[in-house]
Amino acid sequence: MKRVAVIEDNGDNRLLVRAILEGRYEVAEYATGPEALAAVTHARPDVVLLDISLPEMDGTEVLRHLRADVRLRELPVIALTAHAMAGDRERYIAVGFDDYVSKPILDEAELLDAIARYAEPAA
Amino acid sequence: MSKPAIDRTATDPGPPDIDPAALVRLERLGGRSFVQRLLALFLDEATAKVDGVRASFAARDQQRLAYWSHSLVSSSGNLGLIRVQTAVRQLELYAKTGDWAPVGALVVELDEAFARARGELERQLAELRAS
Repeated sequence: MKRVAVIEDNGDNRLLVRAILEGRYEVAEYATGPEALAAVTHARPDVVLLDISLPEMDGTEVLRHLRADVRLRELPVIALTAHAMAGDRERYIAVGFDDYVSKPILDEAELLDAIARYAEPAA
Repeated sequence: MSKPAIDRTATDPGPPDIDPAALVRLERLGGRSFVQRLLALFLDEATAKVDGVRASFAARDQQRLAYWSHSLVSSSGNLGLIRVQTAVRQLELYAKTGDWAPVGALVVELDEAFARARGELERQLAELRAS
């Protein structure tokens, strides 16, 4: 089963994402960027869902660290954010995200489709 | 006279507190035990976030106000808390622009909307636990 890393500080959002992905992907949850960066070098995911508004180190900085690491720079990283404004998708893709899903996640198919573009779900 | 941040009149009660379709969708997604866990987690975390909004406003701390408001946008949206989400979206916007004039009224609106929503969610959670 393909592995998805969810980097998100809100416990309720992590719980919701896990409920959507469970049975289709193996889910690893991280509440902060530093915690995730320390873990993904050892347990490499197939896709990363990365919240933008994180304490300590925000999502764009976490992305910079991932892209700077030769072992991780090719990882597909999907921005997961409640900054839902016109032009957000283009802005996040311009800084290096592969895709973008807005929160709250009201249509789980949108999230599943975005992940499936990079990692096939379990049959 | 400046326009109030949120204008409520007797003929315009504003949006409903909670969209009942949200909990139905969540139950379809993960079942009753999932909804129970999500409600408990939200109730546990959201009170501190609302406190954070209030404290950030008192300290006139734009960055913290934006952080706490933003944090509540998706959490309240997950559960269909329409009035809470409307208030925090506006609070985040004003925090980013540094316009403090409407913020006091919005914090009051958030407090009231959250208190009503919390009461309803606690009732729903008790029902789920009893069932």
